[in-house]
Amino acid sequence: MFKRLGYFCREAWQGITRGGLMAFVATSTIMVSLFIFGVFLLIFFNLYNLMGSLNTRLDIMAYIADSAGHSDVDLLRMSIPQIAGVRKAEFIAKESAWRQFRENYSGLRLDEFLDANPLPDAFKIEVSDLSYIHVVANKLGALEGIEDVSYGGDLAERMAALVKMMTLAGAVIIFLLVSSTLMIVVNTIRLTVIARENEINIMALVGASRSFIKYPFIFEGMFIGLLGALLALVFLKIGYNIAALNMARLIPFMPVNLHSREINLVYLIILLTGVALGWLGGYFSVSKTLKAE
Amino acid sequence: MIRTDKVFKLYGDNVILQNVSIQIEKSEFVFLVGQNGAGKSTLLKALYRDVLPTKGEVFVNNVNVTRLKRRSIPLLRRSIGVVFQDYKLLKYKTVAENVAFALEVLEKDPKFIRRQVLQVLDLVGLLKKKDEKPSALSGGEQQKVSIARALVNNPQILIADEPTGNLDPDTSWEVMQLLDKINEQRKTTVLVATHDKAIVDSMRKRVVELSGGKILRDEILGGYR
Ligand SMILES: Nc1ncnc2c1ncn2[C@@H]1O[C@H](COP(=O)(O)OP(=O)(O)OP(=O)(O)O)[C@@H](O)[C@H]1O
Ligand SMILES: [Mg+2]
Repeated sequence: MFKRLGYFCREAWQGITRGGLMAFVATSTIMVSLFIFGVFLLIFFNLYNLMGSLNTRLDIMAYIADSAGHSDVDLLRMSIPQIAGVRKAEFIAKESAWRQFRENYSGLRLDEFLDANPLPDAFKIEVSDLSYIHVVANKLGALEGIEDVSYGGDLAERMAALVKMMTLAGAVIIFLLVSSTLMIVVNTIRLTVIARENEINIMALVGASRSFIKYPFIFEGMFIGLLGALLALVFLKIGYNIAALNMARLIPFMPVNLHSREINLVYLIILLTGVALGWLGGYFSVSKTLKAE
Repeated sequence: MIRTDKVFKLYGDNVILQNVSIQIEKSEFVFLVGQNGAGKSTLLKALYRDVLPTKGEVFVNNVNVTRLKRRSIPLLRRSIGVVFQDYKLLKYKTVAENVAFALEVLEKDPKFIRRQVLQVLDLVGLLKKKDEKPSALSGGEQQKVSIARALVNNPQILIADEPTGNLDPDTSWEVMQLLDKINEQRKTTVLVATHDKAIVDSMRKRVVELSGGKILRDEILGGYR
């Protein structure tokens, strides 16, 4: 196999140059669909990260009524963790909350305006899943002794729904994209195979094994796939940098926030998909002819 | 070395080969003669499994070719050098590349391939045209390339389907002398289908005549008749 590598590559390259226009069509098809694929991946990773950062702020604060006594609080302490979807509930006494608040906002010199602690006792509740937050908040609000409930609900919920939809729609679109690209690649290489059916026949008659005949076509597909992927990467990189710059300027609190590790992962996925597409395209297109032989 | 046992080949209702049984020993030289459509090419194709007999069996080197697994067909074909009636050259490869291909499928060392190719092209007198594409050659020259490719890997068996069909009388004679020499020196088994009466008559080899898909005669020192 490795001994023949040079031969296969040479043959594959000849195939591409002789394929001419068709090779160009296949390459640009792969490039376009991988570019779209990449845009989806980048958006998806960004949203996912954003959601992650929101998630840490997804606590529900349940404020206890001033009128509530010790026994009420004890009762709440027991009943809150029973609510479905609650992962953790932490009692925060108003004294410690006030201390924390004053530390956080020391610049405000609150003591000049307020002589008493204005904060109520509260429970800080973590939900186990974003989608529970609404239900949990409602249930908390209905509990005896809870005066008020607050959470970053709306935005978080919409984010969750958006990411879910993106994932679903993205999966469907990417599936359609990848399968139609594969079809185009198969048919493109298939055309060169049909044009060379006679030659494939001759190779077989001279004693070439099936894999010996197949690999040049598979390599041809891989070259095309790799080239398409590389071109897609170039455009993705340029596009992403421009987008990141503009996003940072327009919406500073929602930065395009991918680590280079994640970006590289996206690029790697693109490359591998391209090569795999080409491989499959080459394989399928030549298998048909060889089966007939 | 080669044995066919009651071989039949039918295309639809047309009987192309009928009860053909021949035996050819190692290092024999055999002419296969007969009119157009007699079934010569079909019989030869059955030997390298380009045609699968409808009935009967074919043995090459004691291997039952009719029962060969698809995976093993290339191995059979590598042990047989074939000069095709229609040359079967790869049109995008040069003369030298076409000949080299028969060695490339064997995964030979590139240096070895180069040396062998040049040597065999010299043998058939095509060294000067080694970098031409087949389309730039005359019919006879293409036939010589096909011969060179069949010879290049020193096959145990050489099958030539009208190797002189497109050659002028002098060149035909040279090519037949070449096949004879290979038969003598390398002990290669040679099987030649031909219409060349003068050559068959003068070379005095074993002659098998096919007619309507049947063996009409099989003579040790035969003529074309
Ligand atoms: N694939 C095929 N399908 C149908 N008929 C075929 C096929 N191949 C060959 N034949 C028929 O078989 C008969 C014998 O053909 P073959 O090529 O063996 O003859 P031949 O003796 O080699 O003739 P020639 O001297 O012209 O080369 C012919 O009548 C031909 O029409
Ligand atoms: Mg014939």
